[in-house]
Amino acid sequence: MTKKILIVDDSEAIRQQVNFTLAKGGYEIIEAEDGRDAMEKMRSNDDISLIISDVNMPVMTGLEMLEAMKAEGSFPSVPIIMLTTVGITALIGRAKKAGANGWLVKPFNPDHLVAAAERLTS
Amino acid sequence: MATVRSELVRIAKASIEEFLSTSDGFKEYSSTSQNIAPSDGVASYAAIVGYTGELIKGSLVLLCDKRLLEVSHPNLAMGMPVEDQDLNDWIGEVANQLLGRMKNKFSASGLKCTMGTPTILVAQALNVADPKEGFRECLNYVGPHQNVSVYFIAIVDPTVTVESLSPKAESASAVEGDSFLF
Repeated sequence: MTKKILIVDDSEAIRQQVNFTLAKGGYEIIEAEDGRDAMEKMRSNDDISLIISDVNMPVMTGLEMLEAMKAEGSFPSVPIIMLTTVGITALIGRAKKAGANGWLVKPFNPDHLVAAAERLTS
Repeated sequence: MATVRSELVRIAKASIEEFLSTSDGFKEYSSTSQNIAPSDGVASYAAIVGYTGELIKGSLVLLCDKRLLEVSHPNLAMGMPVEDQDLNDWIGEVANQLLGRMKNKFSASGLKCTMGTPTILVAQALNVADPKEGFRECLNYVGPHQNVSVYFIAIVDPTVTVESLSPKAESASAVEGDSFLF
């Protein structure tokens, strides 16, 4: 069965780049523009296997989304990778504490992204 | 003699040059001290992103032309067309990536801040005036297409000193391309 990945980024260019990279691996891709949009997409798609999310976004940031999911106890089994320009150790620690499973710094290496997706969805 | 301003500008330049050297379409761009503000009549794209923290706040303004945004857009590498409507999104992402790098380095120097989201303008002969507070530095880059200008605007708390900006070992940050699984 095709696995679904939710890509969350306010930049359409980045969503397309991630989509292009992962679609070659046979994944079905769903896109969201910010954290709130992502939480709505999660509620309407109960078979998402992985979330790949930017951090700095309008409306709801990636870390706010992560912390809201943790506070609500929603989607506890869905792994989340943060994909962002920011590499500050304290923020990486905050994301890890909130339940993130990985952190990739943009511009990303496509092989690293595919390997992380394969590992977290297997 | 180094000043807080010169140190912050050094960090801003290092961040921009890191981005240029690793990003398709920007790799042939290099720093210039010439005044190369966009020419009259040349359509320019601008992205403005604000940042704010306890000790520093300000904004980054990125100016470049349409052709550079077209040739650097990730769609090209994927064999997909680049439409005009893609360019606003892309210059916003480039500005985010530039300021994100600066944010990483500021954090390592004890200046924590959060970033806003980009505002995009398309206009002719854009220029950025001196701010009422703080300082503005225009960093210019020349390459095969129209020039790129980055205005770095900062208001710094008077308690910040050159010594306090020394990078802190405990604030080391991940760099582009790094990946971690927990």
